[in-house]
Amino acid sequence: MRLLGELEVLLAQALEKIHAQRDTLALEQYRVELLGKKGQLTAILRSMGALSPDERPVVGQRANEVRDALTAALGERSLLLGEEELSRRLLLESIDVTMPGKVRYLGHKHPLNRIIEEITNIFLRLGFSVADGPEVETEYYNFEALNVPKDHPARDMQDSFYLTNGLVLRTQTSPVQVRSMEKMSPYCPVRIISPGKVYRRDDDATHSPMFQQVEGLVIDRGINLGHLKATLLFFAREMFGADREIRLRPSYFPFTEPSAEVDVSCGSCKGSGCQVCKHTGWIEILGAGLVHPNVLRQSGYDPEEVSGFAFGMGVERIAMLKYRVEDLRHFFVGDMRFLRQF
Amino acid sequence: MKISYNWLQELIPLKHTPHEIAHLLTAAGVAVDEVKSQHTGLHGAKTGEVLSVGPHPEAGKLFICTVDIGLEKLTIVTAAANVMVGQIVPVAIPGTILPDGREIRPADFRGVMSFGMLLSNEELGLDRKVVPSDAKEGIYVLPPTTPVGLDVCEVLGLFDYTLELDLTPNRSDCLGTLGVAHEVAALTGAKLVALPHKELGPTVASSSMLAVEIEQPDLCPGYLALVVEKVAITQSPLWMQNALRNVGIKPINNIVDITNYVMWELGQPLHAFDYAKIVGKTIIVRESLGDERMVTLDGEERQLPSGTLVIADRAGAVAIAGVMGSLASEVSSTTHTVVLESAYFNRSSIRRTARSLGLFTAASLRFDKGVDPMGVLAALSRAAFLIEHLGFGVILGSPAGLLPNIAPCCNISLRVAKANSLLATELTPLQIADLLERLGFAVDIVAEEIDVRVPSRRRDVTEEIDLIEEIGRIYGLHHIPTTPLNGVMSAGRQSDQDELVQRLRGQLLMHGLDEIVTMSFADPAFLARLSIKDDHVWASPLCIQNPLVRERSVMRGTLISGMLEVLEYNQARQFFGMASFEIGRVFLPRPQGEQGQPEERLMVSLGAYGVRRGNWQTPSEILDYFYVKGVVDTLLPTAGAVPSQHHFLHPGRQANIVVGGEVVGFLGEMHPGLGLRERFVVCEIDVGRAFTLASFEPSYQGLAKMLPMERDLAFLVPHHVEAAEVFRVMQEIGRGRIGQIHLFDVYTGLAVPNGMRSMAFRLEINSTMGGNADRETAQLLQEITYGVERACGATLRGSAGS
Ligand SMILES: [Zn+2]
Repeated sequence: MRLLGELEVLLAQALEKIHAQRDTLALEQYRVELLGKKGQLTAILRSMGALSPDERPVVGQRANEVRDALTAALGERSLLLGEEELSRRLLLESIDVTMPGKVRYLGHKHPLNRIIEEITNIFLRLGFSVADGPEVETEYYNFEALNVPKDHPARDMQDSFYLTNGLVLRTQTSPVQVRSMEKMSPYCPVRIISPGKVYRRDDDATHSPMFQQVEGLVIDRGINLGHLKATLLFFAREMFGADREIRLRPSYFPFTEPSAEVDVSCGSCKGSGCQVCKHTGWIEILGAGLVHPNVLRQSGYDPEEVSGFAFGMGVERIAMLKYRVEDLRHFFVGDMRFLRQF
Repeated sequence: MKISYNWLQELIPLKHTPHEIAHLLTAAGVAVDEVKSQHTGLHGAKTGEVLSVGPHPEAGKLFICTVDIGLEKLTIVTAAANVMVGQIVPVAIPGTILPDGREIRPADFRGVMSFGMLLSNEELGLDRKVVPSDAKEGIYVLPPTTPVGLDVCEVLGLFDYTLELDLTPNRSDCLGTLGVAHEVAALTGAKLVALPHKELGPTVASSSMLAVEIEQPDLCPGYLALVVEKVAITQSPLWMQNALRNVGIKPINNIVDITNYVMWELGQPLHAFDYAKIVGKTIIVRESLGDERMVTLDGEERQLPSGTLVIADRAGAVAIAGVMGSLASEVSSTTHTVVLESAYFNRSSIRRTARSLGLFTAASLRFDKGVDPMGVLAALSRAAFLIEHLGFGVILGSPAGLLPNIAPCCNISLRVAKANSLLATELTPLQIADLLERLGFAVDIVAEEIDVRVPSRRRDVTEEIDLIEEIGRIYGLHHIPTTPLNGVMSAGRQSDQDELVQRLRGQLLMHGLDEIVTMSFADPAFLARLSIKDDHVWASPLCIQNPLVRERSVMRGTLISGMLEVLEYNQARQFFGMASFEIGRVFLPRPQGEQGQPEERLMVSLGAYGVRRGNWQTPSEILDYFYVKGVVDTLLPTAGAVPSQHHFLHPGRQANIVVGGEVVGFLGEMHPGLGLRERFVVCEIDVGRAFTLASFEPSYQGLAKMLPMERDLAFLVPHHVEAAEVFRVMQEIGRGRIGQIHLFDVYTGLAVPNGMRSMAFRLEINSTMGGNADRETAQLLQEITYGVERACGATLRGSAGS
C-alpha cells in the first residue's frame, strides 16, 4: 500500500502549501502543479495501473477523496485570496474625492433679463400675450395717442430725447399698447404686456437715461378697478411672495383715469417699517389705472362699450429691490464682478 | 410744496395730528413725503425787554444788561454789538436748553455774574435761509410789541409741523394751503373757515391813479392792479413771519410778506410795485422787444428773449410777467404807495419764459401749473383786507384792469351706474353726491344722474371720468374689492422672436458667455476711432437732438461699440479674461429722403479676450478667435466663414459669417493698430437673418443599422488653401457616404515642408450592409484622397483606421 501512503503524504503537504500561497496567481500555478495534466496527483493516479485488482478500487477511492479535498481547499483559498486582493486594490485606488472636478463655466443671465423673464412668465400664466414695438417712436404714438397733447408739460424737451422728423425715443412702452389696440380693435379681450427699453433725460444713481419697463393692458367689456387690483395682487404675490399685500394710492398719469401708484408690502419687515421701505411698510413698484376714455377712443374702442386697465413697472427698480442693488448704473456698465453674482 | 400744520388749522380747525393728516392726504393722492417738526430743540427760553445796557469794566467787547423777563429782572453779560435798550429779545435763563443740547447756567464773566444769555438766530436754531436779512447777525430782535415773559418757542411759532407735499402735475389747486384745506375737508368732513376779505369796487379799465393796457389778451386773459396808499414799510407781524418761515419763505417787509402770505394761502401769486417808480402811471402787458434788458429782484441783469411777456410802464419793462419783478420797481423802505398786481397768465407762455431764462420762482411754478381764474380777484381782496386790517396802508380806489372771462365753474353730468361699473362699487346717488359735496362741488341728483358744478379752482376736473376718479379717491381705493379677471380664456403667447431670443440666450449662457446689457446710445467718436468710412452702414447714425452728453449723442448702429466698452472696462480692472454677449437692437436710419421710423434690427454680439482659468483637471481656455468661432460654429452649424476685409479688424483674423449665401454677420480680432491693450475678439450677427426658430428644433433622422466606422486621413495642405475648402471637397465626394468630419490635428514644423501644414481628419464612414464593406471603404478613401490632392494641391501623409 505504498500508493496509499503517498496519497496521504501528498494531501498533508498540499493542504499546507495551499494555505501558504499568498496570491491568486501563485495559487493557480500550484493548482496546476498539483492537479494539472502533469501534476503530482495525476502522476500518482497514473501509477495505479500497476496495482492489483483488489487494491485498485481502494486506492482509487482514496485518490478521489484526496482530489476533492484538495479542490475544495484550493477553491476556499482562492476565494479568500481574491477578497484580500480586491480590498488591497480598492485601498490602492482610492482618491481624494474632495478634490475639485472638471469645471464647466456657465454664463450668467443679466439680472434685468432675469426679472423681465420672471415678470413675463407670471403674466403668460394669466393669459397675457407679449407685444413688441419700436423704441424710436413717432410723437403721435408716444404722446398724442396717450392723451398727452402738444402743450402738455410732459412733452418738455427736458424729459424726452428728440430725433428729427417728429421722432422721439419712447418714454414708456405705452405706445406698444396703442399700436396693439389699433391692430386689435374692436376685438375683445385684449390682454398684453410689453416689456422693453425706454428713454428719459435723467442720469443719476436712481435714474438712467435708458431703462426698461414692463407695461400691461387689458381691454374688455366691464373691466373695473377691482380687476386691476386682483391682477396686480396676483402678480405681487407671484413675484415677491404669497404673504404680500398691495395698496393703491391715487395718482396721476395722462393715459389712465383713475390712476394709482401701487405699493407692495415690504418683505424685509413684513410691514412694520424698516430701511428698505423707508419706514412706511410699503414699497412703490407700479403705476396703474383705468385706460383713459380718450386713449380708448383714439385707438378705435368705444369707451361706452368697453373699458380697460393698464399698469407699468420699472424693471431696474424691481431688480434693485429683489437683489438689493444699490446703484442703478451697475446694470449697464458690464462689470464682470457685478454680473457674475447673478 | 410745504404746508404749515398751524396755518392749515387756521383755515380748517382739525382734531387730527399732523401725521394723521399726512396719512389721509397720501391715501387720497396728495402725497405727503415728510412731516417735519419746526421745533429746534430750544427749551425754556423767555422773551425779555432790555432795560439797560452798560459797558463791562474789565472787557471792552462785553456789555452788561438788565433784562426784564416778566417775573424777574436778570443781569446778563453779552458780546452782541446790536443790543439796545428797549429791545424785546429771546433770553436763555438758567435751566434753558439750547438746540445744541447746552444747558444755560449762571456764569462769571470777568467778575460779573451773568444769569443767562441773549440769543442769536443761530442759538435759536433757525434756518439762516429763512430769517430776515437784518436778523442774521447778533441778537435776534423781536418786534417791539411782543410781550415779555413768554415762551420763545411759542412766540416764534416753533410748535408747528411742516408737511412736504409731492404733488402730481394735475393738482395745482394744492399749491395753496386753502386747496389742501379743501382736500382735508373732503377727507375728514371738517368745515372750512371763511377767510375775511375786503370787498373791492367794480373793476375799471383805468382808475384815476393807474391805467392798465393789455396788448396780449391771449397771453394775459386777466390782470388786476390795485393802488394802496399811505403805506409805511415795516416788519410784518410775527405770526405772519412765523407762518412764512415755517413754509420756507424769508420774511422781507410787511407788503412783500402779505403778497407771499396770500400766495401761499390761496395759490395765486401777487406782486407789489412801488407806485412812484411806474413811469406814466400806466401798466402795459406786452411782449418784450428785441433788446430789452432788466435787472431782476435777485440782482441779476437779464437779457429778455424777444416775445417774453413783460409788465411794462411807459419807460420799459418793470417785471417779467408771472416770473419776477425788476429791482428798479421794487418796494423799498421809502415806498409810500404800492401797486398790487394779481393776474392770470397763459400757462405755456410763463413756462417758456421761466425755462428760457432758467428762472423758476414760486410764482412761475403756479402760473405754469395753472391758477384759479377766480383767485385773481379773491387774492387781491384778501391782500387788501390784510393790509388795511394790519394798518399798513389804505385802499381808496377800485382795481384797474381786466377780470379773466372764464366760467366760475364747470358743469358735468355724472352717471351713477357708470361710476359704479368702473370703480367696482355699489354707491348710491346720495353717497356719491355726498362725496362730491365734501370736495366743495355743487350737486343736483336727477334720477340716476348727478349734475355737478365743479368750481374753477379744480381745473383738473372737466369730464365725467374726472369725477369718477374724485369719487374713487375720496371714497378710498382701499375699499375697492378685488375681482379676478373673467371672460374668454386665452393662452398667453410670446412672439417667435421672443422665443428665439430666449433659446439663443440659453445657448450662449451654456457656452459660458456672460450676458451684458449696454446703453442704446453711442459715442460718435467711436466711429472715428474705428475709422469707419462714410459709405459704411454705421457711418451716419441716428442723432439725438438734445443728448445729455456727447458720448451718448447718437443711437447705436452696432452692438460692437457697447461690447468694446465692456471689454475695455473689465480689462482696465485687471480682469484676466471674459467672454460675453448682448442681444439688443441697433438703429439704422432710413435711406436719404425716405420718411418714417428707422429700422430697428435685432443683433447679437459676442466679445472675448484673455484666458478662462481652468483647474488641476481642466486646462485653461484661451478666449481667442477660435473660441468665438467655436461658439458661432455650434450656434450656426450650417454657416460658413469667409475671409473678410473690415478694416477695424485684424486683416488676417476676420471673417464674414455666411448663411445660405447671405452675409449675416462678422467675427474677428480687433485691429492691433487701434491701440487696444488686449486681443479683443468681437462678433456681431443679425439675429433675424441668421436664426430661425426651426434651427433650434431637433430633426430626427432615425438610427443607422450599422455602427459607423472611423478612418483618419492626414494631408500636407498648402498654407493658402483654406480649411473650409478641404472640408468642402471631402463632403462633396463623400456625400451620403460619410457623416461628421473632424479636423483633429493641425501641425507645422519638423517634417512638414515650408508653406505647408499637416491636417489630420477623422472621417465617420457610414457602414453599408453587404460583404464588400472593406473594399467600398478603401475605394471611398481613395476617391477622397485623390480629390483633396487634386483640388487643394495637397498630398496624403498617411491614413489609419479601426
Ligand atoms: Zn420694510
